Amino acid sequence: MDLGRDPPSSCSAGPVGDDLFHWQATIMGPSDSPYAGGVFFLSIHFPTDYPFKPPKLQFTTRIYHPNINSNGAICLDILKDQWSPALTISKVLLSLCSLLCDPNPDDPLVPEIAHLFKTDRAKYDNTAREWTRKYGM
Amino acid sequence: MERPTDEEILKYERQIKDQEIGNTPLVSTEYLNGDPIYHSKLVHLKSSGCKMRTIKKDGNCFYRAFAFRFCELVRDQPPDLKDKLIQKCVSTKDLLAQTGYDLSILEDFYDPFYEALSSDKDLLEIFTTEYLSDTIVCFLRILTAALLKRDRELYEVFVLDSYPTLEAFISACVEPMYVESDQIHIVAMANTFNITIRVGNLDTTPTEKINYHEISPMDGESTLSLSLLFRPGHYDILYDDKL
Repeated sequence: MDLGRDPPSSCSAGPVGDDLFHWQATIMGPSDSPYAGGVFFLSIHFPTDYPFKPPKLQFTTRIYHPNINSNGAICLDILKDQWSPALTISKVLLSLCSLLCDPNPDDPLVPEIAHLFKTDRAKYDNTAREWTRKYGM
Repeated sequence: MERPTDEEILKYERQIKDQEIGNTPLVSTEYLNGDPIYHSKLVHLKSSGCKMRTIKKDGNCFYRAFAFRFCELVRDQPPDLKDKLIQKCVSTKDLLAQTGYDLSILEDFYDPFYEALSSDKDLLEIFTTEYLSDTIVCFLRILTAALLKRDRELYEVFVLDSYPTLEAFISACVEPMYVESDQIHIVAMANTFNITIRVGNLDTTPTEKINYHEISPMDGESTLSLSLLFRPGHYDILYDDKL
């Protein structure tokens, strides 16, 4: 598919084995975020009616983030109602990098983390850094 | 109780919509028991020899209706005009490149539209093959987005009331599939292909005939004209050359 043509340096993706509908991706924690230094793995499943329906992405590395829950499920508009068939996996992964830098606490998947992000940013940053060290390094 | 996943919510939402879509009645029966003004307007349309082609109600109806009728008309034109219109379609690649779209990816979306316009393949078969039909809809959505971006100063004012930026409007209302179209999408298509789109409104104004709203290209001469029948929330194709 598209990723090989213009791979962004901060992420990568490719099929797992022979099943072209199942990919694995990695995202490097952005340097200007508490996830810096971490490497995060994701699984990507392409539905049979891709690209008209969005791919299903899930973090397989645990991450402390208001829009990503403990199952690795992601709350991101372009993976839901704002999906467009012209979006590519590399664009999706870049959007995820932006989400790591700029969480969206107003549309949270984990309300407790969103609350902490809004009320005690330093504590949020610390916990996110700790989880990154624990699970992502 | 466990919260359903986003996928489950989306799937459920589509299921409900699919049930609605699966049961698409014709306009005439649908409105027979509705407002008598609808009824009399439909009777008038029918008695004037107009025909219509119903389009799936999935939020893509404007683009699907437009694309089908446009291809149908282009194929019917004398060779000179037909070539000119096909060239217009080819030149949309420049528009996409200018506005930062990656042609190597969009080529896959362009090809079915080009084929529908220029080949002899059965148009109805193309447009009832879900994959091809949706790919064409998607291509026209991307073209709309590209035109809005290129001629930003022209379109931006119409969306900034409801959206923080033109890009936010495009991400929410133009590029995703299944999102209903508005005036701005129609204007963009009329301007992209230099054609006139006449929208017959099936509304409750107390007139015998339906009112037309004509959207002509802003620059250059209009080369073709096509008609759609609009009732709140839906577009179908109207064949009204006898009107």
